[in-house]
Amino acid sequence: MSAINPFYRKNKLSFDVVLLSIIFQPIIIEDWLVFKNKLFNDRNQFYGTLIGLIIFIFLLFFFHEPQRIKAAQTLKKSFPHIDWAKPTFADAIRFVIQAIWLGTIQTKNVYNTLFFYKKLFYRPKDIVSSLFNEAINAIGVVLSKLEHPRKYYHEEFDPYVYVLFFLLLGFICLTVPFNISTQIIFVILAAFVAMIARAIVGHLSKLILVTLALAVSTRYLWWRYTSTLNLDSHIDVFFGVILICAETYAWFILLLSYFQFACTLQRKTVPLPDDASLWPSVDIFIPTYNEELDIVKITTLAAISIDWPEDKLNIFILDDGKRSSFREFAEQVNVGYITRNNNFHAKAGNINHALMITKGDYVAIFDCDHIPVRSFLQLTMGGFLEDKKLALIQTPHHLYSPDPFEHNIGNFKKTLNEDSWLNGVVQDGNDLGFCGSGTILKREPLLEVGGIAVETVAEDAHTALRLHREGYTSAYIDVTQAARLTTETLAEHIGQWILRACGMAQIFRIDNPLLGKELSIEQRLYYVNAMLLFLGGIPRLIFLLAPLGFLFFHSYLIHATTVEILLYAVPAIVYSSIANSYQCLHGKQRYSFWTKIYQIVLAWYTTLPTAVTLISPKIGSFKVTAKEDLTKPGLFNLAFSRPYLFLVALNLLGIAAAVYRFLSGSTDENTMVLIYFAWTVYNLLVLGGAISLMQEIKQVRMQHRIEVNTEVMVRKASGHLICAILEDYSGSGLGLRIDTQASAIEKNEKIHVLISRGDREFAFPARVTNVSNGFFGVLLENLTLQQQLDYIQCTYSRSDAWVSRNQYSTHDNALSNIKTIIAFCLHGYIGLARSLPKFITKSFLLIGTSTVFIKTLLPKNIKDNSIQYENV
Amino acid sequence: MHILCVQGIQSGAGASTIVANVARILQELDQDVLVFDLNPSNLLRLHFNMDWQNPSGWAFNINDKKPWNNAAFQCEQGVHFLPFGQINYKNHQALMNDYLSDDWLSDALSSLDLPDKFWIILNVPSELNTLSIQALNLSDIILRIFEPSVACLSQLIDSMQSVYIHDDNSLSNKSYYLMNKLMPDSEMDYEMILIFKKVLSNKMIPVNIHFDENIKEAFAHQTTVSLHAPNSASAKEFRNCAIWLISYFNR
Repeated sequence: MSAINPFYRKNKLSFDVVLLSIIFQPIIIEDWLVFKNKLFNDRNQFYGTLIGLIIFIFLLFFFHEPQRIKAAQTLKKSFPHIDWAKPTFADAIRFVIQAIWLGTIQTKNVYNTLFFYKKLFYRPKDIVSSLFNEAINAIGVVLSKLEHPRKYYHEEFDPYVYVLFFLLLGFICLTVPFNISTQIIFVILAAFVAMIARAIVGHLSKLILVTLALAVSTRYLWWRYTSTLNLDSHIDVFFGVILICAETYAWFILLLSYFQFACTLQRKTVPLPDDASLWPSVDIFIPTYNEELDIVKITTLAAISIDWPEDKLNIFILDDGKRSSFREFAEQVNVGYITRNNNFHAKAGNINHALMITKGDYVAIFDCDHIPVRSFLQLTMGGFLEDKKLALIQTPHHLYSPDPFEHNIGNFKKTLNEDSWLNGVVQDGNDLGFCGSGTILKREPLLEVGGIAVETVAEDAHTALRLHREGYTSAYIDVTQAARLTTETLAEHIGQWILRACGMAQIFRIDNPLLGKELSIEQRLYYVNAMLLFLGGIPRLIFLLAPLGFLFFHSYLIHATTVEILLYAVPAIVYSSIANSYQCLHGKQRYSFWTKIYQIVLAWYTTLPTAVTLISPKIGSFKVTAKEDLTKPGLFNLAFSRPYLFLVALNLLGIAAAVYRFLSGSTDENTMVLIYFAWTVYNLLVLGGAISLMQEIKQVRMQHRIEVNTEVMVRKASGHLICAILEDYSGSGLGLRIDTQASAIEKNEKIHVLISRGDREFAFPARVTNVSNGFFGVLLENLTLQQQLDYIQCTYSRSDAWVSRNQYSTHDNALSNIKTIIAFCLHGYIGLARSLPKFITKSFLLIGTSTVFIKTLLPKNIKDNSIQYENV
Repeated sequence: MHILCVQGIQSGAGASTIVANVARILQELDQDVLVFDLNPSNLLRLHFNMDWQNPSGWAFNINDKKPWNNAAFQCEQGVHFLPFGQINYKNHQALMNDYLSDDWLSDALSSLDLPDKFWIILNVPSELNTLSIQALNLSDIILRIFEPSVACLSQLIDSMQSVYIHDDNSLSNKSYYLMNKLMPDSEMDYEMILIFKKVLSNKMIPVNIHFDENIKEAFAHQTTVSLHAPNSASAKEFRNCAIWLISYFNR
């Protein structure tokens, strides 16, 4: 009898006995067993009761409302992509996938829910990351002590000894050959150092990162030269040499840019003397040729508003278009108006002519769309008074309208534009250069070098070069004190780049900065860097085509095993992009991948003209004619992207060739094929990005609206005053946000907009032209000249007008960007597919919708925004 | 208790309106407010929707031989207020000369026994009499209202040179100035502002009240601007003014 009853099997302990024996004496457990035996006949009945009890408790919880709500909230939070109101079949799959995800990968939430946010024990990941953080803190403290090395520096030591020592050490480090295992160790060590250096803020960690990137890429190049050149056949020599040339070129650019950026100057503004009678006189030149009066008007009025002693500030409109409306306007606002008999040498000639007529100590040049703020001169001129050798001050070009690329990217203000990078950080690094506008020049030195240079199309850079040759210096002050428009169409934009590239090429032929007198090594390097930057198109094209050399012609470009290639090339690429992107070299200003795409777009167009100019500088400027049909609204810009379509086609063929080689070739070659395949896919991705950039959307507004966020007031004709937020403005109109519930403003109603500047407040008559959902577009009407001046002072010319220019730039966090980058690149192909015949488009649509569906199945990261409870 | 005196530099400068509106906003900001009308024009009550015909008020009560503090009201939004009451000139004279002792107001306020954080806003007439001088002396801060006009400027300079402000630093130290009825597109107003700024220098509080149709309308509706037109610029200006006052007492 007792043998049948499982509760009397003493040799196998049941679960409850084990549990109870932890806490209670054996005698109590005996009692419990007797009790259990009395209540339940057999094991099944016991467990049945237990399960019933648990279900009952859960039901209790379920009917207990606060608990139920809490449970529902947890579910909703853990499965954000499931609609609990009407679950579908796909939701079941989502549930399973997400549950697996939460159980295995993103365990933090489960952990928190189970343990009620109490840190009962550490997860292994937490331990590692906290150790890592401790290490970083410790090293950061050490580094910050070393940040000012002078304290630890014995002056008796000859610095040349150091340099020699480090050169020797560096040479050994870079050239000692590694086998595969040592290379692995090297890569891991370097990765560790880079991870720590990345996490530490400061100049020294930045330098460590640069040194590391330099070492890895130099080692890569050394390795390429010494052990991977394949000289077996003619075709191998041909492709191999081309590739290694391109790689050397890329390495050289990298090297130069490292030198440039490793020490940014971050020049501060120099205060002016208190006595305003010591301030020098300044002429402001606004050269114009065919621009509209409305644009020139804003710049002129802003120039008038500049705070500077009235008798020492003279403004001149240099009109090569010789238009009477401009003359009248100049008379109205009492500024100078200068024309000439001929139009020789375009802008440079125009300025030179004006230099003969005017006589201020300094000359500030603003392109007619380049609007200075009122504090422009006060923040910049101090430098001249302090340094007598200073002949040129350049301020950054802040672009307040999206350039065609940004326009097409559609992420203006998220990713800073290349131009502002070019005019910004590059000069912060080296203090040279003259960008043609937003510049102050000292008259005497300028006349000494014969005015603005007219021999090349890059008159600005050439003039700066000549000033440097005469021993004068230049400075770049990184305060945004002026802003300008960008070109409107892609064609114009590319045209501008070609012009610039050609100009640099001409300078190299006519007045080579590497040769000649009076230039320091840094200055020469700067000019070489600028030059190479513009010639960078050729190696980029080579990299786009290089894998095809193997896939089509079976030529081994890199004579090494797959593992070696991975171990040498991948770290080199990764480190240079880390060093470039992550808060390292360019601060927060350069977005590595976007830059790459951007330069690829320009590569095709700038390569040929620059090469031709370099060979024969007399041919001079290439003109890209902006054909009207290229910029029709909404159309895919086929004509411009044709070369890129060709490259895409070649790379697609390359993919096909790779598949063929993988299937038919020998098995030991397969890994190599995979590498080239991956390279081709990457190239296709980049090309997709380039095509995506070129899908032009026509910009509609004539005058760009500048986004702001200030409080203003609106006075209705009835006398009611209403609060409003000024959201944007342009030369002719404003965008206001008004709470519509309380205030009835109708279309075409005449109102006054009250904007305050400093202590004063100005009322501008305006008419409501556009009402939508709380947003009111108003057009300024019948402004007197004085009101126009006041308006410019309240808007464009405010000292703080462009201060917020960096507020949108976030870190170029490579990982978080990858998603957007891939999406953006694919977007190019989607646009491409749109221009294909309908039946193909349909199948693309199917692919698209199915990918979207699959994407919804993927697990989601749970962002925990709730308050974390600290365990006190 | 925070005792705030609001006094127009010139009658008609808009002191009563500002008292009513600022009191309402303070109430909205969760402050307890008692408004005490010391101005015989008895206009303040109209901002709080008191019946036009009702002559009740503290002065009226005294005249009627009733306890003065039986005349308190509370408006719908919660502001406590004590109207002056409708009395004729003779009674007013009698009240000022005979009834009110030199420290009547301080006795009256302390007899109310209000909690610590209570705001008492005294609406003081621009003319000087025993009562207004008591109020000015008693207050923690005096807010003097002016409009950017030549008349106000002349009155201001007069009052600054007159005995009670000029000789007594304690009064001029706690006096702050608030500009009312500013017309944004009037050149003249801005010329006047420059002069006022020069005369008053740092004594002007950083808020101006613009001339706004909404204020007139609100008064006609016997209410305050923040209720009548919450989105209007003047409602916001009154709010800024109230916040400035709170921060003045909290510093």
